[in-house]
Amino acid sequence: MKFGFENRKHRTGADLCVRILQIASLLPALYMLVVPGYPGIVTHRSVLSVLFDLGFSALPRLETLALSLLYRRTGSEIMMFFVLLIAALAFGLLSRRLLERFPRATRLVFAVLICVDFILRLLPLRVNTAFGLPCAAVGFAAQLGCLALIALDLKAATA
Amino acid sequence: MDSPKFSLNAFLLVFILFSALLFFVTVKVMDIADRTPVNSFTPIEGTELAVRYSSLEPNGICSGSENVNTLLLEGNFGTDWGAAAIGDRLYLNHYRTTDLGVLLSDVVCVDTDTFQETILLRNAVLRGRCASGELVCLGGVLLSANYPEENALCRLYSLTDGNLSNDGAKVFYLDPESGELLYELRDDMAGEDFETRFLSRTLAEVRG
Repeated sequence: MKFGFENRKHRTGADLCVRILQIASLLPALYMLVVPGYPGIVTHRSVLSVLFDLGFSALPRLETLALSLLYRRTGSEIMMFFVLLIAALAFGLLSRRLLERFPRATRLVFAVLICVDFILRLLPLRVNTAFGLPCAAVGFAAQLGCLALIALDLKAATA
Repeated sequence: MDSPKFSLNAFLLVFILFSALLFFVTVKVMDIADRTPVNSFTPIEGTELAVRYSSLEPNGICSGSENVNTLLLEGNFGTDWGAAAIGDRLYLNHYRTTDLGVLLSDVVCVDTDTFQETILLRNAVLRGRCASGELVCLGGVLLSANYPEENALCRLYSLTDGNLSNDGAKVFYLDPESGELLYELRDDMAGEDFETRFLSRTLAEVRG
């Protein structure tokens, strides 16, 4: 397991993808801690809710729903908070290990995940209402960028 | 040459450790600071029982006087909105809390011979008896403990259950003899003006 300081010259598309997904997976913490009293973060337009459009947007929304279910089952806010953090950490460590051992398969999985997220994001659901068009555009651009970088990595690996 | 960067995983690990430490310190500080004893003893009308709420002893249903009493059933019970004692059955609210403050309530029936508790309705509050004597409960209630309209945790809690709200979503009428459900009615604003709309009318009038 590598926790500490990184000294890497080349960061691949999959690395970037892992980082964005990790940050996006932490966004529900805003709902719990930073935005008390503002439930609209997943349903309405707000200044902070634009963050949801910058990350891989389906993930924090689905994660918030999963957290709500966990909250109803356990009744423990502290547990939710640590589950959120530990899940993000576990995802980072697991992705890194998988990228080292199975680089091609893991990159393909990430590419599929981004495509699924695109599809989910385009479904006419209430939660998919864009919070702000510029932010949504940046979010889509970031996703497309990641997808392109992953495709380039895969191409370079096969060449 | 690239300068070394602190990885996100390392940041998360440090954050988790500091959060755990902070929670521990916060809980300890609150534990030290919150040393005001609370002792409330509320007799239940029509019985020789009372509900005890105390920071020194376990909460629950007691018999006896305020100073000398015996705990018969442990739990956070409440008679503030309405309790009914009919024969050997006692109907009242049983409150549950999450770690940090969302308050939930169940309507329960306690057998006063055996002190066995039966949950009649989950996430509901017993509000009293209507003009014709039936027990009237407000269902789908989430009691935000401190900041009714500003509790994000309440919203998060009810995000995956459309039947939960601060105002309640349903009204239930229970038979006071058997505790059976007689009538239920959906009303998204059920909690508003509850007294005149439900408690001061008979079941027939509400059904009407």
